[in-house]
Amino acid sequence: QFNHHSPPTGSPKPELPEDGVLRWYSMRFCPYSHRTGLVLAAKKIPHHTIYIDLTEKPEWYIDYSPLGKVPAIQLPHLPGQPALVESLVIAEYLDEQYPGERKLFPKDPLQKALDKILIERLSPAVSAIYPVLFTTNPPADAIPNFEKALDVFEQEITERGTPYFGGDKIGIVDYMIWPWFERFPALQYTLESKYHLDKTRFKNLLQWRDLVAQDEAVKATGLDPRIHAKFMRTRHEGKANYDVAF
Amino acid sequence: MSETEHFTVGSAKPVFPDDGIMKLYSMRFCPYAHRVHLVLDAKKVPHHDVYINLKEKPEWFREVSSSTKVPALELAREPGNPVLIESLIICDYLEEKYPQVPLYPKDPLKKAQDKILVERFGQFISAIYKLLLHDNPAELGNTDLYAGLDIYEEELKLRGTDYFGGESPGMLDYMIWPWCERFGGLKYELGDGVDLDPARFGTLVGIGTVKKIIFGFKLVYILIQLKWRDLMMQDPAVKVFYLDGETHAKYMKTRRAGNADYNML
Repeated sequence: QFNHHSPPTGSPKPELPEDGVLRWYSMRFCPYSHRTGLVLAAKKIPHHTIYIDLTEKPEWYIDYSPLGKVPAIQLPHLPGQPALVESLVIAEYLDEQYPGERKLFPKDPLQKALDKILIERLSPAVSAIYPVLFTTNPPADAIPNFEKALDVFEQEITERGTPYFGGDKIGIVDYMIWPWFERFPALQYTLESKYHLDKTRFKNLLQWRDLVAQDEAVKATGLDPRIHAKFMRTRHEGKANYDVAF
Repeated sequence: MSETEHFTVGSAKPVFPDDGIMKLYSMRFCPYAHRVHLVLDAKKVPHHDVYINLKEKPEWFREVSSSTKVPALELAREPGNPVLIESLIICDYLEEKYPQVPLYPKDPLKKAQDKILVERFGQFISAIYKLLLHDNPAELGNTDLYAGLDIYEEELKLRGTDYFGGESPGMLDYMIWPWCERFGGLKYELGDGVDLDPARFGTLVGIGTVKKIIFGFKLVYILIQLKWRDLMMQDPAVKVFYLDGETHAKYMKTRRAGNADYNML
């Protein structure tokens, strides 16, 4: 596997191997990019990883991702070497194009729609917690709003009555929401209050979290919460340092 | 009694016969709900329309739509009558459940590329919404409103077909249509200058071109090659729900004044 860590603006286009292997453009700490990494790992899709420094995007990046966004995947084995953006579009494409033994989206159209709705329902929790993760002066109601937005996930995992949102096996909802659940524990290290999710209010969700943490794809692509915390602190100081991952 | 009566506070939940027909909770002027109407009508899927007063929602609506937003699609043939929300999720569901009039390309890559263009249009719309709902549109001055539309003009030109979907409208055509229909309303308040420029957007809204056909050494037919917007306006699914620019403008004015006239029609 070819891993390239891109230096920022002014850097020449990296010499990427012309071997027709799928390329994944990522930022090491971006949760949306993380989603793509999880799908690639879960489905064991061969790929090269190119890390992009988001604060100083190299000029050549626009050739691969038209809006300069991560994640992006590029398909060099196809005519025109097309690229795709949008983490959920990428996930659906990969699941369809590489069915293999691990189908992540449900086959049933209704179940698939309900799963997509559940994934979408993480958005209010993400918006609420974002300033807590990345700034030093979040609004006072950020954490209460965050917890309220997570209640629906505790409800849902309880109602589904299965170890994963995907059922007995890990599925697309588990993977698509995981990146944030890997980052929330960093708050123990960044906040004076050493904040963590309440074990009673989120009993089943925390059980789910501990189970998913054992998943092979999660372990292969994950970062320890202390490293996430380290990165968040560099953001607090206004000087995001992506190198803390390497 | 308006033909599209919007249920409000104090109204009783409408009762339908147990006919296995899905219910679309909608608002007559909502562009996101409009997307679902288009897909249902394109695929000829029977449905009951239930219009909701979004400013003063009926009490029972909270139990229908977990987001209390429209569109919401209540399925009638699944256990528990589940309700789907989010226009794109609903449309993708309908596409998979009712494949007889396919709206996405079969090829997973082409489908993904179309979905990206749908997402991108949503981002363009968030930017342009400021104009559609602005108190004093004149204040917006020289903002290049339609900068985000250039890529669609280029893409349609590149595809070389009547519609983004090819020879008939596809999901991308329908998912962006509701806003393209509403652009026609902007000139009623902001003047003709705000209309889409046929020079800039020749493929989307250009004036039809005359095509001369030579048949048996003689000039026989003169066809008008219609552009995308005119073609879409002839589409049966579009026609079912179509409102002209003046009507959209009239509604938007009431919305701007904070007193949306849902039952205007």
